[in-house]
Amino acid sequence: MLMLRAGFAAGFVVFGSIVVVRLLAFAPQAGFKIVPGVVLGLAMIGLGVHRIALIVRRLRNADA
Amino acid sequence: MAQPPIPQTRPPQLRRAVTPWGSFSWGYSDVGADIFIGLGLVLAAAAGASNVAFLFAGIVYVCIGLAYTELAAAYPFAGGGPYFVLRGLGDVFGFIAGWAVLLDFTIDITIFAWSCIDYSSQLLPMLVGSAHPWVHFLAVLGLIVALCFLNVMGVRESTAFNGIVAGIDVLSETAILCFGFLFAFRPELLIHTMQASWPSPYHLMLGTSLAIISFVGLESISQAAQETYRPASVIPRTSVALILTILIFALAYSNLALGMQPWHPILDAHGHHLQFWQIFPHDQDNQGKAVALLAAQVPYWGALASLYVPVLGAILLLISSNSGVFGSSRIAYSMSRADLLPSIFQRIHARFRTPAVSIFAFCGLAAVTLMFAALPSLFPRAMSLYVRLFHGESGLDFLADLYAFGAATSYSFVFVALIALRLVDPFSPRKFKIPVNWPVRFRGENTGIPIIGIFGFIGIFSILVFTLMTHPIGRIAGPAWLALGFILYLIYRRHRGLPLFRSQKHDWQRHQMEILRTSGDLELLDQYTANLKAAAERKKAGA
Repeated sequence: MLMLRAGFAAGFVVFGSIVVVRLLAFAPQAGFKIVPGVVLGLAMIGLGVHRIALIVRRLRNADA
Repeated sequence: MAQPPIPQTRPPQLRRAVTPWGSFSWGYSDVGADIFIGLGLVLAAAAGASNVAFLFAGIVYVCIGLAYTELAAAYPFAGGGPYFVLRGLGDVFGFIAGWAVLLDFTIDITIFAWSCIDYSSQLLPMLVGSAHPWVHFLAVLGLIVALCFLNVMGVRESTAFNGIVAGIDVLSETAILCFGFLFAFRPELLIHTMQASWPSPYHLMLGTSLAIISFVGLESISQAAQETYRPASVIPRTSVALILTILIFALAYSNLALGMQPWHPILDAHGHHLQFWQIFPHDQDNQGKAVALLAAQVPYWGALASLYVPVLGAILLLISSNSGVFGSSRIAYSMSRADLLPSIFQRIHARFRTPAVSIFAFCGLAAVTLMFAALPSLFPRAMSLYVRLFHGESGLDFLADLYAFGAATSYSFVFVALIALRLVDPFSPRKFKIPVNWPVRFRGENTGIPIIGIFGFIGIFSILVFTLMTHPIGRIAGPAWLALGFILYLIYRRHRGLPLFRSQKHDWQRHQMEILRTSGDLELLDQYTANLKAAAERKKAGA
């Protein structure tokens, strides 16, 4: 279960990165209009990292 | 919401049995349903800038979420925003915030029941509002009446049921968005839509004020706090996940809706191709079921999603409507116990042990708002009155107006209460503290003003101003609701011989100790007691 959740979290990080990269490619012609999409990608990365941090902390506590 | 008198024998307490997932799903089933209503309304109002409207409201929502997380972890008591405002700003503002939340919960009952029927109409065409207005109206009214009686009888969906629905919905929405972004999203189309269909400043403000309704329901974080074991540890963890999940869904749906190449071509009456978002302006039926329509246009997954998303959406919206019945009756009950509302709202049904008077009162009020919202479609002659007075707003717009007003008002007070509580109660341990603080010294104690709280207040206050500027019904009915409530409050306080504009005496320190003792966070109780002792010694030494 923990591995499944870690997989989901990693998926969010990857997916968020793809969204950011795809939108940044249009930065020169679109300007600030890519901001909502970039924030979306960053929020996905943030959620993924938050979940991974919780899982790592839980694993560390289990080891201790 | 006020501290209960400490009796000799301890009264029955809410059982602390909510797990981290339970806490998340409790919040999700409340806030997660909002996007099912908000998306269509915002797309209709803000067109090519819908994602910008959601971004602005989303940033404000993150600030609100952080404020609720800090307050709910520090004061894990099931009173929500009104309780924080009562503690931080006193009785009068506690009443106003509670009264605004009551407006929101009452509209919550109607708007979610309305939208539940709209989503059901995707599979049952006889429920389509524009084609069968009377069937639609009676179905919504039937739902409200049914929820009313279920709540009086004390039947409520369990945390386990909430957890299952929330889990399925998170997976479903993730799948829809993954397939949508992988196979239908065109960044160049998004940029083109934003450039070609950028709205006027008026419509952008309207869209932003409507976008905030996609983020309403954070009361549930604090409602769940009193039933969560060790809330100071669990709530910050689940809240951050909840805040980010809701923000991601709102931003993802709006970006996808503007930049999506529909799987099936969408044609207008003249056979011209339309973009997906263009089916929302001037179509109330579509606005009420936007997520189901978007899901159906997603490649591959859409074939399946078109069948189950209307059902899932209807269930989630029904749960939210029910939380409106539950929340309004409980907040009225707790406001009544705090001498902010007449004692009639405390009356408990002899057999079912539920606050039956409160439930009937607010469900009755919800039925009245439903009648007002449905009037133009039921009696076309009434439409001319709406056109003259309210720019011809539709029923869903009317409900959204009041919902946005209530949310923006109560959230504004919560930000002020957050700052006030930092100053007047620096002793309560805050296991989660909003980052970025400006250190100050107040009444001899070191504390910090949350900068994010100040930005959040400016953001939500500007949304309140947008609401008043752009919602013809909201700017009349919202302040009228507050004014009426305040007059009733003054009459009641005068009748009871209580101070009108000042607060009653509250022993908050004793109340806080009781809260921390029952929460299971005993180390926080020790810390609180030590903080109070140290402050008393400092005061003594200073004197």
